[in-house]
Amino acid sequence: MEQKKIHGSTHDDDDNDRSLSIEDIPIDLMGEILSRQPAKLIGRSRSVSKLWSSITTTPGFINSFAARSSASSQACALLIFSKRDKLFVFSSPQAESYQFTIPSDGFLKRYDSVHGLIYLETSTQLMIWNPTMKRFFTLPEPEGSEGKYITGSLGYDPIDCKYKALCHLTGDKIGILTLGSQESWRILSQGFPSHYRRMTDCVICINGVIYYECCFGLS
Amino acid sequence: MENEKKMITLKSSDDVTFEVEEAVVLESQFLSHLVQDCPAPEHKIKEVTGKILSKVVEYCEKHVVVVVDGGDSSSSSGDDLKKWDDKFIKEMDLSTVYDLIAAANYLNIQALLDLMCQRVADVITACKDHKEIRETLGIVSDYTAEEEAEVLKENEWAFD
Repeated sequence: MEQKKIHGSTHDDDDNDRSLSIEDIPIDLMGEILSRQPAKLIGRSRSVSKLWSSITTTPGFINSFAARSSASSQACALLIFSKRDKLFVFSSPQAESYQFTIPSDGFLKRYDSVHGLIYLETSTQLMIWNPTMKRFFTLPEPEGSEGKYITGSLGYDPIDCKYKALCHLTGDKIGILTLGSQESWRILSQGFPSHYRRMTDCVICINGVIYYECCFGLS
Repeated sequence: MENEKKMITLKSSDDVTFEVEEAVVLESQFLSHLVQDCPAPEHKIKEVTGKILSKVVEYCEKHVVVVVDGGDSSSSSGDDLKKWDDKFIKEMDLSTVYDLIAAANYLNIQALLDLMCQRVADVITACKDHKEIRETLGIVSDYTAEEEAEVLKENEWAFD
Protein backbone atom coordinates (compact mmCIF):
# COMPACT_ATOMS: atom_id res chain seq x y z
CA MET A 1 0.00 0.00 0.00
CA GLU A 2 1.26 3.42 -0.91
CA GLN A 3 -0.56 5.15 1.88
CA LYS A 4 1.83 6.52 4.39
CA LYS A 5 0.99 8.63 7.31
CA ILE A 6 3.85 11.05 7.26
CA HIS A 7 2.83 13.36 9.94
CA GLY A 8 -0.17 13.76 12.16
CA SER A 9 -0.66 16.58 14.58
CA THR A 10 -3.04 16.01 17.42
CA HIS A 11 -3.99 19.45 18.56
CA ASP A 12 -7.54 19.55 19.80
CA ASP A 13 -9.64 21.18 17.19
CA ASP A 14 -13.30 21.72 18.01
CA ASP A 15 -14.29 20.82 14.49
CA ASN A 16 -12.72 17.39 14.65
CA ASP A 17 -14.62 16.22 17.68
CA ARG A 18 -18.01 17.27 16.48
CA SER A 19 -19.65 14.17 15.11
CA LEU A 20 -22.26 14.53 12.41
CA SER A 21 -25.86 13.51 12.82
CA ILE A 22 -28.48 12.59 10.25
CA GLU A 23 -29.69 16.20 10.28
CA ASP A 24 -26.36 17.31 8.78
CA ILE A 25 -27.03 15.38 5.60
CA PRO A 26 -28.19 17.71 2.80
CA ILE A 27 -31.81 17.29 1.76
CA ASP A 28 -31.03 16.10 -1.77
CA LEU A 29 -28.82 13.33 -0.37
CA MET A 30 -31.45 12.44 2.21
CA GLY A 31 -33.83 11.98 -0.72
CA GLU A 32 -31.25 9.76 -2.36
CA ILE A 33 -31.04 7.65 0.80
CA LEU A 34 -34.80 7.37 1.27
CA SER A 35 -35.32 6.39 -2.38
CA ARG A 36 -33.16 3.32 -1.76
CA GLN A 37 -35.72 1.77 0.56
CA PRO A 38 -38.13 -0.88 -0.64
CA ALA A 39 -41.27 0.75 -2.00
CA LYS A 40 -43.61 -0.55 0.67
CA LEU A 41 -41.56 1.15 3.39
CA ILE A 42 -41.78 4.65 1.94
CA GLY A 43 -45.13 5.18 3.67
CA ARG A 44 -43.71 4.70 7.14
CA SER A 45 -40.80 7.10 6.42
CA ARG A 46 -43.46 9.76 6.14
CA SER A 47 -44.39 9.08 9.75
CA VAL A 48 -40.84 9.72 10.99
CA SER A 49 -40.80 13.51 10.66
CA LYS A 50 -42.27 16.37 8.67
CA LEU A 51 -38.98 16.77 6.84
CA TRP A 52 -38.98 13.13 5.72
CA SER A 53 -42.59 13.45 4.74
CA SER A 54 -41.89 16.49 2.58
CA ILE A 55 -38.84 14.84 0.99
CA THR A 56 -40.71 11.68 0.03
CA THR A 57 -43.73 13.47 -1.42
CA THR A 58 -41.96 15.72 -3.94
CA PRO A 59 -42.49 14.83 -7.62
CA GLY A 60 -38.70 14.66 -8.02
CA PHE A 61 -38.42 12.02 -5.34
CA ILE A 62 -41.30 9.98 -6.72
CA ASN A 63 -39.78 10.09 -10.20
CA SER A 64 -36.31 9.08 -9.10
CA PHE A 65 -37.88 6.38 -7.01
CA ALA A 66 -39.93 5.08 -9.93
CA ALA A 67 -36.86 5.18 -12.19
CA ARG A 68 -34.83 3.25 -9.65
CA SER A 69 -37.43 0.55 -9.14
CA SER A 70 -38.12 0.11 -12.83
CA ALA A 71 -34.38 -0.14 -13.52
CA SER A 72 -33.85 -2.76 -10.85
CA SER A 73 -36.87 -4.92 -11.44
CA GLN A 74 -38.51 -6.34 -14.50
CA ALA A 75 -41.55 -4.78 -16.06
CA CYS A 76 -44.62 -5.72 -14.13
CA ALA A 77 -48.08 -6.57 -15.33
CA LEU A 78 -51.10 -6.28 -13.09
CA LEU A 79 -54.19 -8.37 -13.66
CA ILE A 80 -57.33 -7.14 -12.00
CA PHE A 81 -60.66 -8.92 -11.68
CA SER A 82 -63.68 -7.90 -9.74
CA LYS A 83 -66.28 -10.21 -8.36
CA ARG A 84 -69.19 -8.83 -6.38
CA ASP A 85 -67.67 -6.56 -3.75
CA LYS A 86 -64.15 -7.98 -4.03
CA LEU A 87 -61.30 -6.90 -6.22
CA PHE A 88 -58.57 -9.42 -7.01
CA VAL A 89 -55.17 -8.25 -8.14
CA PHE A 90 -52.35 -10.42 -9.42
CA SER A 91 -48.97 -9.06 -10.34
CA SER A 92 -46.53 -10.71 -12.67
CA PRO A 93 -43.65 -11.66 -12.60
CA GLN A 94 -43.52 -11.15 -8.82
CA ALA A 95 -46.53 -13.44 -8.56
CA GLU A 96 -47.98 -11.50 -5.69
CA SER A 97 -51.69 -11.45 -5.27
CA TYR A 98 -54.02 -9.35 -3.20
CA GLN A 99 -57.69 -9.10 -2.74
CA PHE A 100 -59.65 -6.46 -0.99
CA THR A 101 -63.18 -5.56 -0.31
CA ILE A 102 -64.32 -2.50 -2.16
CA PRO A 103 -65.38 0.13 0.38
CA SER A 104 -68.71 1.92 0.62
CA ASP A 105 -71.53 0.40 -1.36
CA GLY A 106 -69.22 -2.22 -2.80
CA PHE A 107 -70.43 -1.89 -6.34
CA LEU A 108 -67.53 -1.18 -8.62
CA LYS A 109 -68.51 0.63 -11.80
CA ARG A 110 -65.16 1.18 -13.40
CA TYR A 111 -61.52 0.46 -12.82
CA ASP A 112 -58.60 1.53 -14.86
CA SER A 113 -54.81 1.60 -14.70
CA VAL A 114 -53.05 4.93 -15.23
CA HIS A 115 -49.28 5.20 -15.04
CA GLY A 116 -48.93 2.67 -12.24
CA LEU A 117 -51.96 3.71 -10.21
CA ILE A 118 -55.28 1.93 -10.23
CA TYR A 119 -58.36 4.07 -10.47
CA LEU A 120 -61.58 2.68 -9.01
CA GLU A 121 -65.00 4.17 -9.28
CA THR A 122 -68.16 3.21 -7.46
CA SER A 123 -71.49 4.91 -7.93
CA THR A 124 -70.68 7.46 -5.25
CA GLN A 125 -66.91 7.57 -4.87
CA LEU A 126 -63.65 7.84 -6.74
CA MET A 127 -60.78 5.90 -5.26
CA ILE A 128 -57.12 5.46 -6.08
CA TRP A 129 -55.08 2.44 -5.24
CA ASN A 130 -51.30 2.52 -5.32
CA PRO A 131 -50.18 -1.08 -5.88
CA THR A 132 -46.50 -0.25 -5.21
CA MET A 133 -47.17 1.14 -1.76
CA LYS A 134 -50.33 -0.90 -1.28
CA ARG A 135 -52.07 2.30 -0.30
CA PHE A 136 -55.59 3.15 -0.93
CA PHE A 137 -57.40 6.43 -0.67
CA THR A 138 -60.73 7.97 -1.49
CA LEU A 139 -60.87 11.27 -3.30
CA PRO A 140 -62.80 14.01 -1.50
CA GLU A 141 -66.20 14.93 -2.81
CA PRO A 142 -66.42 18.11 -4.87
CA GLU A 143 -67.42 20.88 -2.51
CA GLY A 144 -69.20 24.17 -2.90
CA SER A 145 -71.08 23.31 -6.04
CA GLU A 146 -74.65 22.36 -6.55
CA GLY A 147 -73.60 19.80 -9.14
CA LYS A 148 -73.77 16.14 -8.22
CA TYR A 149 -71.13 13.70 -9.21
CA ILE A 150 -71.83 11.57 -12.31
CA THR A 151 -68.60 9.90 -13.37
CA GLY A 152 -64.85 10.45 -13.29
CA SER A 153 -61.51 9.33 -14.62
CA LEU A 154 -57.84 9.59 -13.84
CA GLY A 155 -55.09 11.06 -16.00
CA TYR A 156 -51.34 11.47 -15.77
CA ASP A 157 -49.56 14.59 -16.89
CA PRO A 158 -46.06 13.53 -17.99
CA ILE A 159 -44.81 17.13 -18.13
CA ASP A 160 -45.58 18.17 -14.57
CA CYS A 161 -45.44 14.54 -13.43
CA LYS A 162 -48.80 14.86 -11.69
CA TYR A 163 -51.88 12.75 -11.57
CA LYS A 164 -55.12 14.58 -12.15
CA ALA A 165 -58.62 13.32 -11.60
CA LEU A 166 -61.43 14.57 -13.76
CA CYS A 167 -65.07 14.28 -12.84
CA HIS A 168 -68.29 15.21 -14.54
CA LEU A 169 -70.97 16.77 -12.39
CA THR A 170 -74.59 17.44 -13.05
CA GLY A 171 -75.44 20.91 -14.35
CA ASP A 172 -72.73 20.80 -17.01
CA LYS A 173 -69.85 21.18 -14.61
CA ILE A 174 -66.45 19.55 -14.65
CA GLY A 175 -64.23 19.08 -11.59
CA ILE A 176 -60.46 18.73 -11.75
CA LEU A 177 -58.33 17.59 -8.84
CA THR A 178 -54.54 17.41 -8.81
CA LEU A 179 -53.38 14.57 -6.60
CA GLY A 180 -50.82 15.35 -3.96
CA SER A 181 -51.52 19.08 -3.76
CA GLN A 182 -54.21 20.73 -1.66
CA GLU A 183 -56.62 18.11 -2.86
CA SER A 184 -59.64 20.25 -3.50
CA TRP A 185 -61.63 20.23 -6.70
CA ARG A 186 -61.39 23.04 -9.19
CA ILE A 187 -64.84 23.38 -10.74
CA LEU A 188 -65.27 24.52 -14.35
CA SER A 189 -68.68 25.53 -15.57
CA GLN A 190 -67.88 27.33 -18.81
CA GLY A 191 -65.34 27.41 -21.61
CA PHE A 192 -66.31 24.05 -23.06
CA PRO A 193 -69.25 22.87 -25.16
CA SER A 194 -72.19 21.56 -23.21
CA HIS A 195 -71.98 17.78 -23.11
CA TYR A 196 -73.03 14.82 -21.08
CA ARG A 197 -70.95 11.85 -20.06
CA ARG A 198 -72.28 8.57 -18.79
CA MET A 199 -70.63 6.08 -16.50
CA THR A 200 -70.43 3.50 -19.25
CA ASP A 201 -68.72 5.75 -21.80
CA CYS A 202 -65.14 5.00 -22.78
CA VAL A 203 -62.30 7.04 -21.35
CA ILE A 204 -58.55 6.77 -21.81
CA CYS A 205 -55.49 8.87 -20.96
CA ILE A 206 -52.74 8.97 -23.59
CA ASN A 207 -49.63 11.13 -23.20
CA GLY A 208 -51.24 13.48 -20.76
CA VAL A 209 -54.51 13.95 -22.61
CA ILE A 210 -57.76 12.42 -21.40
CA TYR A 211 -60.04 11.32 -24.23
CA TYR A 212 -63.62 10.45 -23.39
CA GLU A 213 -66.80 9.54 -25.13
CA CYS A 214 -69.78 11.80 -24.51
CA CYS A 215 -73.11 12.99 -25.85
CA PHE A 216 -74.08 16.47 -26.99
CA GLY A 217 -77.37 18.23 -26.70
CA LEU A 218 -78.98 16.10 -24.01
CA SER A 219 -78.95 18.58 -21.18
CA MET B 1 3.41 -0.88 -15.34
CA GLU B 2 7.07 -0.12 -14.65
CA ASN B 3 6.64 3.62 -14.98
CA GLU B 4 7.42 5.79 -12.06
CA LYS B 5 4.13 6.41 -10.32
CA LYS B 6 3.29 10.00 -9.67
CA MET B 7 2.61 10.60 -6.01
CA ILE B 8 0.41 13.28 -4.54
CA THR B 9 0.11 14.37 -0.94
CA LEU B 10 -3.29 15.13 0.55
CA LYS B 11 -3.54 17.04 3.78
CA SER B 12 -6.65 16.90 5.96
CA SER B 13 -8.23 19.77 7.89
CA ASP B 14 -6.34 18.69 11.00
CA ASP B 15 -3.04 18.42 9.08
CA VAL B 16 -2.83 14.67 8.73
CA THR B 17 -1.07 13.93 5.46
CA PHE B 18 -1.50 11.01 3.07
CA GLU B 19 0.79 10.22 0.21
CA VAL B 20 -1.13 8.49 -2.57
CA GLU B 21 -0.69 7.58 -6.22
CA GLU B 22 -2.21 9.97 -8.71
CA ALA B 23 -4.54 7.21 -9.95
CA VAL B 24 -6.09 7.03 -6.47
CA VAL B 25 -6.74 10.75 -6.45
CA LEU B 26 -8.46 10.50 -9.84
CA GLU B 27 -11.26 8.46 -8.23
CA SER B 28 -12.47 11.81 -6.94
CA GLN B 29 -13.85 14.16 -9.58
CA PHE B 30 -13.13 17.12 -7.37
CA LEU B 31 -9.51 16.15 -6.74
CA SER B 32 -8.81 15.23 -10.35
CA HIS B 33 -9.83 18.75 -11.40
CA LEU B 34 -7.81 20.20 -8.56
CA VAL B 35 -4.70 18.21 -9.52
CA GLN B 36 -5.06 19.20 -13.18
CA ASP B 37 -5.61 22.87 -12.50
CA CYS B 38 -3.06 23.25 -9.78
CA PRO B 39 -0.13 20.85 -10.12
CA ALA B 40 1.23 21.33 -6.61
CA PRO B 41 2.72 18.32 -4.80
CA GLU B 42 0.45 18.82 -1.79
CA HIS B 43 -3.24 19.63 -1.54
CA LYS B 44 -5.01 20.68 1.59
CA ILE B 45 -8.61 19.50 1.95
CA LYS B 46 -10.05 21.79 4.57
CA GLU B 47 -13.46 20.17 4.67
CA VAL B 48 -12.33 16.65 5.59
CA THR B 49 -10.68 15.47 8.81
CA GLY B 50 -7.78 13.02 8.97
CA LYS B 51 -9.95 10.25 10.36
CA ILE B 52 -12.38 10.49 7.45
CA LEU B 53 -9.76 11.18 4.80
CA SER B 54 -7.97 7.97 5.82
CA LYS B 55 -11.20 6.07 5.10
CA VAL B 56 -11.64 7.84 1.78
CA VAL B 57 -8.06 7.03 0.79
CA GLU B 58 -8.49 3.41 1.89
CA TYR B 59 -11.63 3.09 -0.24
CA CYS B 60 -10.15 4.74 -3.32
CA GLU B 61 -6.93 2.71 -3.12
CA LYS B 62 -8.86 -0.53 -2.96
CA HIS B 63 -11.09 0.43 -5.84
CA VAL B 64 -8.38 1.76 -8.10
CA VAL B 65 -6.26 -1.40 -7.63
CA VAL B 66 -9.12 -3.68 -8.58
CA VAL B 67 -10.08 -1.64 -11.61
CA VAL B 68 -6.49 -1.45 -12.88
CA ASP B 69 -5.49 -5.07 -12.20
CA GLY B 70 -8.90 -6.62 -12.68
CA GLY B 71 -8.69 -6.67 -16.47
CA ASP B 72 -10.72 -9.47 -17.98
CA SER B 73 -11.52 -11.31 -14.77
CA SER B 74 -13.72 -8.42 -13.74
CA SER B 75 -16.57 -10.56 -12.46
CA SER B 76 -14.55 -12.34 -9.77
CA SER B 77 -12.74 -9.18 -8.77
CA GLY B 78 -16.14 -7.47 -8.73
CA ASP B 79 -17.29 -10.03 -6.16
CA ASP B 80 -14.17 -9.50 -4.11
CA LEU B 81 -14.71 -5.79 -4.22
CA LYS B 82 -18.27 -6.22 -3.06
CA LYS B 83 -17.09 -8.34 -0.13
CA TRP B 84 -14.50 -5.74 0.68
CA ASP B 85 -17.14 -2.98 0.55
CA ASP B 86 -19.41 -4.96 2.88
CA LYS B 87 -16.62 -5.39 5.40
CA PHE B 88 -15.63 -1.73 5.03
CA ILE B 89 -19.17 -0.64 5.91
CA LYS B 90 -19.76 -3.13 8.69
CA GLU B 91 -16.94 -1.79 10.82
CA MET B 92 -18.32 1.71 10.67
CA ASP B 93 -20.63 3.53 13.06
CA LEU B 94 -23.37 5.74 11.67
CA SER B 95 -21.62 8.95 12.56
CA THR B 96 -18.64 7.92 10.41
CA VAL B 97 -21.06 7.02 7.62
CA TYR B 98 -22.52 10.55 7.75
CA ASP B 99 -19.03 12.01 7.67
CA LEU B 100 -18.18 9.87 4.67
CA ILE B 101 -21.37 10.93 2.90
CA ALA B 102 -20.39 14.56 3.41
CA ALA B 103 -16.81 13.86 2.27
CA ALA B 104 -17.81 11.76 -0.76
CA ASN B 105 -20.29 14.45 -1.75
CA TYR B 106 -17.71 17.19 -1.41
CA LEU B 107 -14.94 15.25 -3.16
CA ASN B 108 -17.41 13.94 -5.72
CA ILE B 109 -16.71 10.20 -5.44
CA GLN B 110 -19.96 8.74 -6.72
CA ALA B 111 -19.31 5.07 -5.92
CA LEU B 112 -18.43 5.85 -2.30
CA LEU B 113 -21.44 8.13 -1.98
CA ASP B 114 -23.71 5.39 -3.35
CA LEU B 115 -22.25 2.84 -0.95
CA MET B 116 -22.75 5.08 2.08
CA CYS B 117 -26.29 6.14 1.10
CA GLN B 118 -27.19 2.49 0.64
CA ARG B 119 -25.79 1.78 4.09
CA VAL B 120 -28.10 4.33 5.73
CA ALA B 121 -31.03 3.06 3.63
CA ASP B 122 -30.30 -0.49 4.84
CA VAL B 123 -30.28 0.68 8.46
CA ILE B 124 -33.66 2.37 7.90
CA THR B 125 -35.04 -0.70 6.16
CA ALA B 126 -33.98 -2.96 9.04
CA CYS B 127 -36.01 -0.94 11.57
CA LYS B 128 -39.37 -2.42 12.47
CA ASP B 129 -41.33 0.83 12.60
CA HIS B 130 -41.10 4.60 12.44
CA LYS B 131 -40.31 4.83 16.17
CA GLU B 132 -37.34 2.54 15.82
CA ILE B 133 -36.13 4.62 12.87
CA ARG B 134 -36.22 7.73 15.06
CA GLU B 135 -34.39 5.97 17.88
CA THR B 136 -31.73 4.46 15.66
CA LEU B 137 -31.00 7.63 13.74
CA GLY B 138 -31.56 10.06 16.60
CA ILE B 139 -34.39 11.95 14.93
CA VAL B 140 -36.69 14.05 17.07
CA SER B 141 -40.19 14.00 15.67
CA ASP B 142 -41.70 17.38 14.88
CA TYR B 143 -45.23 15.99 14.64
CA THR B 144 -47.74 16.79 17.34
CA ALA B 145 -49.61 13.78 18.71
CA GLU B 146 -52.65 14.60 16.56
CA GLU B 147 -50.59 15.11 13.43
CA GLU B 148 -48.77 11.87 14.05
CA ALA B 149 -51.99 9.94 14.48
CA GLU B 150 -53.24 11.41 11.23
CA VAL B 151 -50.10 10.69 9.23
CA LEU B 152 -50.01 7.14 10.57
CA LYS B 153 -53.58 6.62 9.53
CA GLU B 154 -52.87 8.09 6.13
CA ASN B 155 -49.91 5.82 5.58
CA GLU B 156 -51.16 2.65 7.15
CA TRP B 157 -51.04 -0.24 4.77
CA ALA B 158 -54.22 -1.32 3.23
CA PHE B 159 -52.86 -4.84 3.02
CA ASP B 160 -50.12 -6.78 4.70
